[in-house]
Amino acid sequence: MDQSGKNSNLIKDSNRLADFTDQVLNGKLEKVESNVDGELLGLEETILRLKSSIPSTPLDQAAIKQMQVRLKTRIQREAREVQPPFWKKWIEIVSRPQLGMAFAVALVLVVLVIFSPSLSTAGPAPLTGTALAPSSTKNILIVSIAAGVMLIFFWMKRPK
Amino acid sequence: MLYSTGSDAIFNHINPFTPLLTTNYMENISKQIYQEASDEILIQQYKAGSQDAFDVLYQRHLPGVYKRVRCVIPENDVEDVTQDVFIAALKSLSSFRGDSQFRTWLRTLTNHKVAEFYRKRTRKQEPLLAPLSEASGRMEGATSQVLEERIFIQNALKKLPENYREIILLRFAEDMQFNEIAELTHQNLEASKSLFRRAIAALRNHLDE
Repeated sequence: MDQSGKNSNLIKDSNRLADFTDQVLNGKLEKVESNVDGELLGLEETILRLKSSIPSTPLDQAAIKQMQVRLKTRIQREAREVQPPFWKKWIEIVSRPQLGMAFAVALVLVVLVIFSPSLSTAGPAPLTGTALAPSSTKNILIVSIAAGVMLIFFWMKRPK
Repeated sequence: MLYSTGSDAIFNHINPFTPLLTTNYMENISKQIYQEASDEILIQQYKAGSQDAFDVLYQRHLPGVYKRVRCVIPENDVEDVTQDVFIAALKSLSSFRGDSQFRTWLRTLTNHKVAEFYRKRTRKQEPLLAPLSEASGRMEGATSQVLEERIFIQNALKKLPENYREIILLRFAEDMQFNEIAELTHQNLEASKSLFRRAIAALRNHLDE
């Protein structure tokens, strides 16, 4: 048989197998057609095996609802189990208005303490005869700022 | 946002007297509207914060996803893998741009989850197919012969090249007609039928091994 004849036979077989599959899946055929032989017969047998082994009973509404409930339960359980990463927690804390404000105030105060020239020991020598030496002034200021920040923090965390 | 509750914008848009109505009544009406809405509208509503929209999408597409998964995954794991598909869909739906149909997108997601299932099993060195005794516990009414045959065919399907397996699943699991398959795969009808015949021939060879 020449190439074109072979091709036309394959096309014919493909069409017949497709028609056979349609009829089997529509429930119109339950066994191989009697007028086929050779390879097509084997392919039709495979179609019948597939049809009988692939579950055909559709999900009913009750089963769908039950599965939906189980899906939601699993989503909720997984959401509880998954811990957010540290940076996410940190952003969450800072993005709360009260805590964010406290953090910002503390940050500004720390920057002031570090960079304020009057609090710095570097530079020109301190005036003699002042009541307190600059280093002790600084220490008192730092302690009071820390106490202030802690007070703000405890005030925020107070039971409401 | 993962499965969050939110306002049903579609309903608010339709009914300007929303505050006068009870919540239950509103929910029922919005669910009815959603039932008739297209996938695209439901996705938009989900993105706008409506959980009901995703519920309808889930109910609409669950049977198809479940049947496809059931064709290739051992019976005991079918529901877990189906859940994996919808959880993945929930997580990435906000980035779904609608370049393809939702059903096509969900099909790709299903194939990924099925592949992931087998990858994990291989890594854990678990048997690729569940023992017959396990499967029979889940399937009332199915004879052991039917179960054995199903496991045998699942194994053969798994060995097929992806395009062969896909065309068999589209026809058998999703009940798509050959002209629909041709449209989906951007082939002509003759090419689709020819691919199907070759896929069945390859499957037969694996079953005969």
